[in-house]
Amino acid sequence: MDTAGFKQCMMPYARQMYAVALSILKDSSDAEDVVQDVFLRMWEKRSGMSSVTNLKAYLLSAVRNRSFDIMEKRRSDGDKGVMELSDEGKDAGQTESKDAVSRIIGLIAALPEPQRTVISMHDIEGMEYDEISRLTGMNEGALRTALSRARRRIREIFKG
Amino acid sequence: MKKENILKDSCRLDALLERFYDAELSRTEELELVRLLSDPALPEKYFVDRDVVTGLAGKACDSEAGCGDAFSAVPEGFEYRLEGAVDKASRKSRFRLYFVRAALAAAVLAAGIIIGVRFSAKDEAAMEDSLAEVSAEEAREAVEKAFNLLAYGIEKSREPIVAAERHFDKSGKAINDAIEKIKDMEK
Repeated sequence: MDTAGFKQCMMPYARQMYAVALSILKDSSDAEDVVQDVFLRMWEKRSGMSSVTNLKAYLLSAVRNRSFDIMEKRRSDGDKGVMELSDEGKDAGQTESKDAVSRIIGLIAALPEPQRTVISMHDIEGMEYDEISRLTGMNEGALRTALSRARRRIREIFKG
Repeated sequence: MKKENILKDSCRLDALLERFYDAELSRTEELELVRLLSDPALPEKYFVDRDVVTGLAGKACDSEAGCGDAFSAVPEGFEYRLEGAVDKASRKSRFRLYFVRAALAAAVLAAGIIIGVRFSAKDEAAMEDSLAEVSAEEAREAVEKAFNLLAYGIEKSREPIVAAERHFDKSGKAINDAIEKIKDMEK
């Protein structure tokens, strides 16, 4: 696949990839880096792109996972915007919305699949069930179950 | 929440929260839930739910008109920089490919030269060995042949000797007979 063909395949998804990364990382520069990173990794694997059945789902999943990896790294590096899991709920009543969002995203990163993907796509990225169903192959019932479990799990951790 | 509405709103809030955690709310109901949880007079027992819900649903939908279209909001020059990164990677790939091809060609050439030199040297040694082997073998064969011929010759040469002996015996006997007759006649 030549450069022009690669761009033709990938560029239509660039903006949505950026939106997903930004919704998780809350930083424009980091979000752009993640998108670029995924693009370059896909360039290295371009010969296998034809075997990907749903490129959009694949790319958004790659961006999501990469963004969560960065969130995890921030937590392990002691980023001020993200609290440790063990500290969750201790001062929940005093935190501002921005800190709550950061904590939530940190918790989402630690959820098992498919809860992590479903709650990220629905609550963070704002996708509807039908689109999530198309991208993941899960039916709406399974999506709602995964979303319910993810939300209840996060609430349990917040309560302490 | 005004005091007179607290009970009413609490019931509504409890119902919406239950449906939120069951993932049964519509987007409109989620907006209503966010609005109720954002009230400054919210009872403390709902603080945890407020943080969870506003951390999730509150971010995805930040207006009553619906979830905003975040896809159009990219930094200026985003796509230009992205395409530039792809072009740079493409140039790197081509350079890597040319380098690998050149290295392979050089390796094949070097291998060919080395093998050719070793092969030609090996041929001379092999030839010498071959010659040595052939000479020794030939010598052995020649000796064997020579012995066989000698044996054959000896065998063959015995026959006339034997025949001559037979003839000699016969003739000798004949001569002896003649001599005896002569002697008898003299008597």
